[in-house]
Amino acid sequence: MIEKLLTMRYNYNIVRFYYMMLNIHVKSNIKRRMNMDWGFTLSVVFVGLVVVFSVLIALVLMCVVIGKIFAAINKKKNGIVKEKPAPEVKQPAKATVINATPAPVVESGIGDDVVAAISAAIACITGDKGGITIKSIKRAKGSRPVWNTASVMENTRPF
Amino acid sequence: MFEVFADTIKGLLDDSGFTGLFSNPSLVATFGDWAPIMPLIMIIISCALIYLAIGKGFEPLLLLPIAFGMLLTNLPSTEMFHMDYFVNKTVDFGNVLQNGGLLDFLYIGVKLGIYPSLIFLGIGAMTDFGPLIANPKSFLLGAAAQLGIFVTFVGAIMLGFSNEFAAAIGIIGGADGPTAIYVAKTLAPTILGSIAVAAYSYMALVPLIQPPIMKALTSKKERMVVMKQLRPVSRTEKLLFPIIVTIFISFIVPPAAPLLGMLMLGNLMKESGVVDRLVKTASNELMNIVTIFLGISVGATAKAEYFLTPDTLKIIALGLVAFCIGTAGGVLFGKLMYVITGGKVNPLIGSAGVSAVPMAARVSQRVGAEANPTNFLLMHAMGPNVAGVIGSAVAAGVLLSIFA
Repeated sequence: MIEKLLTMRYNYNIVRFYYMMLNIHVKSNIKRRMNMDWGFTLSVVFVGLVVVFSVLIALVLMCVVIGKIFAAINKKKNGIVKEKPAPEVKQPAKATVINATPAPVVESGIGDDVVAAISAAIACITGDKGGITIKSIKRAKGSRPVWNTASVMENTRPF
Repeated sequence: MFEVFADTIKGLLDDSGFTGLFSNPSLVATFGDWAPIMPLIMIIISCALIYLAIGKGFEPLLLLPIAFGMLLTNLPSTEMFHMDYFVNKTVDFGNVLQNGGLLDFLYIGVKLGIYPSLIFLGIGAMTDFGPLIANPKSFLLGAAAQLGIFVTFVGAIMLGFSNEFAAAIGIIGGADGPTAIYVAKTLAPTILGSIAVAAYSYMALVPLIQPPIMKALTSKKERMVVMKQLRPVSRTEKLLFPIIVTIFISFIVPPAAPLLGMLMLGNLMKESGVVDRLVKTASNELMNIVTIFLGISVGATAKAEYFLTPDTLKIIALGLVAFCIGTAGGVLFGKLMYVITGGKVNPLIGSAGVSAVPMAARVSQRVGAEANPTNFLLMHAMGPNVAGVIGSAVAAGVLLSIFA
């Protein structure tokens, strides 16, 4: 019984000690915060953010203006040159579209050989089961051509 | 005969590091009875950092010289570096030259702000501002990511640091080693070592710190956004950019001029295409030489009596906070731009606004590619990335003009 009381007393002392320490700590923190000049600190933060943003916004405007000026200059230069090659380009573009349409299951402008390659790939994966019909082949939205992807990969790999 | 021998041996022993461990007055003043152990702890820490640099490949180009500088400066009795020469606002350079050691001489380059500026020259010579000029809105992301600097500034003051120290700690959030060193050497020379170690460690850890924050703050749909290809930028624009930026920013925030001026000089040399030899030197040999000097002398500031304090732990914690808030600021601003532009901007490029070139841009690229493997954000992220360099230099200039 006495032993139990003694340990209780001991525990109580420990608790009291920690409480005291905590109290001192809290007090010192409060004191520190009282000393801390919130007005000054926040004004530093405010001034800093405002200056950083306004300087960079000014740079944005500057870049936009310079970009516009150069775009205008380039237009003037290109305006004269552009007229001639334009009609030449159009005809071959049409030709490819016409060539692509006869492919029976394809919806968009994809060449026969590509369709053959895709069907071959699917046949290769599914094996000899058969009974598979390719209903449509569509170009995935927003994707870039395979060779473009490969070249971008090649160029960005060092990074 | 025997006496001479005994005296010589005694003299050697008195001069040796073992005696030095026990007779260093500044160590005893700071640590009391624990003084002899502290340099040994620092030596162990520096060996651990050397291991991280070599074994784990954490920014080895910088961490290795920094770690070895820490080792050298904490060897007792070598008198290679004297922090107390540089702590005061006005440095007695005569005294440094008369009594200094090797690391004191090398540190003069840090104290005078030479090394960080020369490093910026090399960075400028390797930077392509094209993506930024093509998409000037990226500047805003570079500004938003500086939020970390200012939030950490408040945090540091709440933890009991003085205004100057808090400003130097906050700049860790700029994620830009040379800028952090440039500010710290003026505002808080005694904690320069801790700040540099925190800044460079977190820069090495950017690929681990950033992705969870980026993913938490964005939806998969936002991460999948494919951005429009950037317009080509003409040579004249690339030539005008560094000149205009230097003049403009130096007029508004003069203390940022040394860093930005050198950055832009390096870039102008590269874009001009007429001084290839200088560009090669600035971005290779000169930069490597300066990196060695900068690393060793920054490591040298981590002397036991200045480094082994609770402040260092606080600085390392605050540095992490700075990086996280900077990343979050950039991503959240990216989200804002996503909403305003009707989904044309991928918010992931915002996190690249913390400088850390080109690591942060690479992280944007990688997280973007996880969501959409055909998406290449790298060049889009380079815009905010280099804008972040300019942004943190401006922030540093503001803090210096307030506190220096």
